[in-house]
Parts: sequence; structure tokens; C-alpha cells
Amino acid sequence: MWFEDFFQWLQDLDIPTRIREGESLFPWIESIHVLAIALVVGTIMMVDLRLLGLASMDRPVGRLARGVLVCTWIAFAFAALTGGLLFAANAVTYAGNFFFRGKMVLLALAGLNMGCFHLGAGRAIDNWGAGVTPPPGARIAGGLSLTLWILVICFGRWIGFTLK
Amino acid sequence: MPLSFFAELDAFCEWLEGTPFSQIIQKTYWIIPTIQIVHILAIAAVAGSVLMINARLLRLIDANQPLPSVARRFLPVIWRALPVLLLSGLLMIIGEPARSLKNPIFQTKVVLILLVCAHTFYLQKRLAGHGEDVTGFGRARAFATVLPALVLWVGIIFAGRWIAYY
Repeated sequence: MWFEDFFQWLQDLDIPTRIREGESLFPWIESIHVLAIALVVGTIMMVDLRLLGLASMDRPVGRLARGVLVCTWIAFAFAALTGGLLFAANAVTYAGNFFFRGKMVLLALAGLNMGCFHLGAGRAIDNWGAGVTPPPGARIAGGLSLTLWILVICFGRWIGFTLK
Repeated sequence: MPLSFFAELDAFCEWLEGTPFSQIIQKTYWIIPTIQIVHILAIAAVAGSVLMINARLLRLIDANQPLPSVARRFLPVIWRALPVLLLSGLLMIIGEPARSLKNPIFQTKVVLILLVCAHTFYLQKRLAGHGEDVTGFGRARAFATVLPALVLWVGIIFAGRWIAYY
């Protein structure tokens, strides 16, 4: 099928081939990937827990989120870039892996959840000052985000144990 | 180190590998990945907290927040994640003693962890001396405090990934 040809073509490119066949390029990129994901999840957790009313209650939600989410996005850019390189190096194998596919679906769901929050409950973010627990819609978004990102890490780790 | 140390380390790893507890970890396919997931989630909590404290020291984030209150928010996260990291790390060692204990990358990681704990203690002590009105360190002192922390934490996370390749 066309996408199988595409993944084969992708991993035969110069840089993916070098990553796959090199001595240490793969682990170096993987290290950056792990660091970036730890920062993505570690920072997004702060916002999620605040939305749930479980942490940082002495901070207004809007101000906390604006500060923290800049870090999240920078880290996410690194995670996506390194993840893309790791995928390209063994595209055919990863594309066929259940946990890799699951991880991509979970990422899409996390993005969708974020989009819905911004267009919905999140529009009132500046009303949730210090000490205020956000309304149910925001708490649901926070809980979903927390769950989805934990699952992203679970699926990501399982990829390494299920590659054929 | 004397040769006898390595001989004893070999013998210890072999003994540990043969214990029933280690055997269970080795032979149940889902245990090691599950422990690693817990380990990574705890690292994420630490990484986020370390980032917040250090970004505040450099005034890149929350510059209007008093430094001691930022530290009070995030230092406990680091100290609470530490036992989770040590316990999950210990279980991985019991499951695969030779892969870890005899691995130079793992040994380096242990040294880096001890150093970063000492550094975090130092930071906590320094901040405890300041009143709530103090907004922070001077720029040079802040940088001198942040740099070793970032180098150590990045080193620890990278070493963690590299253990698998040695």
C-alpha cells in the first residue's frame, strides 16, 4: 500500500539511515526525547492539577498557565522533533507497532481536549483567581489531560518492549 | 578500585539474580516496563519542578513571586518523588543487577544523584534563610546556582537512558 512505500522511502533517506546505522546517534536523540517528554508531562501536570483544584491553589489559574505552558510548548517542540527523527529511523517497524499507533491517537486526543478547553470552559480562565477551584468543565479537561499524558508515557515505554 | 571489589560485585550480582524475588521480576514480562513507567512519571514530576525553581532563580518565570514561595511549592515535589525513584530504581536493580550495578553509566548516575541531592539541600538551606520579602539571588549567584543543577539533572536523565546501551 502507498503508506508502506512512504515509510520505506522515509527510512531510506540519508539522515534516518545514519540514525539507524550509527553507533550512538539513536541513544543521543532518545535521551533528548526522554528529557523533553519529562518536561512536557512534568509541566502540564502542574496546570492539570491546578485545574482540578489539587495543587498551586494560592496561584490564579491564568497566570500559572501562561507561565508554565510556554515551557510545555518549547519542550513539546523538542519532543516532537526528536520523536520524528526516531520514528523516521525505523518508520516501517514503528508504524506497525500497536503501542506506537496508540501513542499517536492519545496525543491527538490530548490535543483535541486542549482545543475544546480553549474554545469552551477555558475562556473563563481569568475568573479563577487564587484559592478558586475551577468549574466542572475545566476540572474534567484537567483530569482528561492528566490521564491522557500518563497514558502517552505508558504507551511510549511499551513501544520499546514490543518492537519486532 | 582493587580487583577484589569487582570480584565481590560479580558474586553479589550473581547471588541477587538467583534470589526468588529477582526471578519473579525477570520472568514476569510486564513488571520491568511497569516499574520503568512509574520511574519516568516520577522523573517528569522532578523535571518540571526543577525547571520551575531554576527558571524562577533566573527570573525567566514567575519573577513577581517571592523565591521562597516558589521553592516551597516545588521543593517538596522533588523530595516526595525521590523515594518513588529510589524504590522503582531498586526494583530494576534487583531484576537486572549486572545490567545496572556493573554498568559504568549507572555508577556515574549514582554519583550525579548524590551530587544533585547535596546541591538541592544547599539551595533549600539558602532559601530558608531569606524572608518572604526577598525576591531572589543576584544575577551572578543565581546563574552559579542554576548551572550545576541543570548540568546534573540533564546528566542524570541522559545517563538513565544510556544504561540500556552499555
